[in-house]
Amino acid sequence: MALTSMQRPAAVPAVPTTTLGGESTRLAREFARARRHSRVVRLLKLGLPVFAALIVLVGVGVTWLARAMPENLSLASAGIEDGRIVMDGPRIDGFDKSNRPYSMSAERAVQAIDGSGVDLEGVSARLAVSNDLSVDITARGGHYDAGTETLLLSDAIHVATSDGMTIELSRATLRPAAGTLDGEGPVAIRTATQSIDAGAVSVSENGDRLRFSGGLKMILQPRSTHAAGTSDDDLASAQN
Amino acid sequence: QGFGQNFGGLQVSGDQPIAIESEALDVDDAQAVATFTGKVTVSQNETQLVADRLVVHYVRGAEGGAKPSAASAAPGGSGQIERLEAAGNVRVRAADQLASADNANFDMKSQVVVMNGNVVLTQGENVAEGCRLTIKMDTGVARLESACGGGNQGGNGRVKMVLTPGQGAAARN
Repeated sequence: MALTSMQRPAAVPAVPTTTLGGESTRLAREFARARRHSRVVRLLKLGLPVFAALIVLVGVGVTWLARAMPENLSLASAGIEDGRIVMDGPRIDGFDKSNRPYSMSAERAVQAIDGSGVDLEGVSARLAVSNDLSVDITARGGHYDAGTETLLLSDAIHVATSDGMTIELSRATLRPAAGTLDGEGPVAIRTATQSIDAGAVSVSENGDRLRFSGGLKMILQPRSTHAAGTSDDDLASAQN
Repeated sequence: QGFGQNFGGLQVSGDQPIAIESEALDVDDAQAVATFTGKVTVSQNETQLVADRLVVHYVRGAEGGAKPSAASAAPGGSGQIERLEAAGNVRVRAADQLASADNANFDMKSQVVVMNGNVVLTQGENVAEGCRLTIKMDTGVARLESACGGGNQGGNGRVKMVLTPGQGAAARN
């Protein structure tokens, strides 16, 4: 069986038997390919750096956003408004150091101008104080700094615990992961049998430790009358 | 009916609100202790206690593990308070009687108040001094002692009492 001499590896371009005509068409084709090639090269020369810069930019943007927004953040929607990221319905769920859940959400969050976190509107947060007791905190305004996981509440703050205690204060700094809350401004606490008015309050160890300072006035209602709510002093009116 | 026999006013009645004022309050719910500091005044109707510091031991959630939150348990209704310890310039004022001492311990379960250290009991012009005053809050019966341990504390072991005659009636109203 004779080795067919015409067999050669496919990679080698077949040298076509060319006529003069064929020769010119090949030349033209080669020339067109070269021109195309150089255009591609010119394009790449220009495009590649731009493309690379774009990648870097996106990378930086994403990391900044990720750093500013904690990973356990979910959003209803996000957009850009006059150069600042606006998020609708942001919600952060996490666990504090004793593994109790906390969640924080807002109607709207706008990236703070100084870029160190977000300004919030319509804030609500829930902290677990113990396994069967939780605290709900709402405020009209606030600022959340993901770096220090600190939520600063500033406008019409209302705190209510699941066992009937309410706290009013004008400013509060909340670190749910550390389980602390520091409140300033006239602090007014009302429970069924107690009313506490103080200059400032600080809660730590998830509610195991409380410190009232700046002057304190506490009224302890005896168990019996509080149900009837008949006591005529201001406490009764403060409760409803 | 002797002077100072009954320190009537000190009854801590269960059905009256108690008002406590101070500069600061620290509540440690884990230990069930609330510490008032800075010009502490505790008042209920006529009765008033003044001290530099007041430590309140209260009963945390009785039902085992269930731990009421600090604030709702922090010296809850008087029913929940086990013991009060007042320290530093303690003054207990009730009606026209005033007792002052270095410190005072109120045991709410046995309804007994023990005041010790430079105890001075005053009613109107009458003054009695000793080193320990024990008052039964429910009956108002008060017992002043002067020989309590440390010789020097109570002076020569005898109660010193100054009665101003003719004051009895006036002081009564």
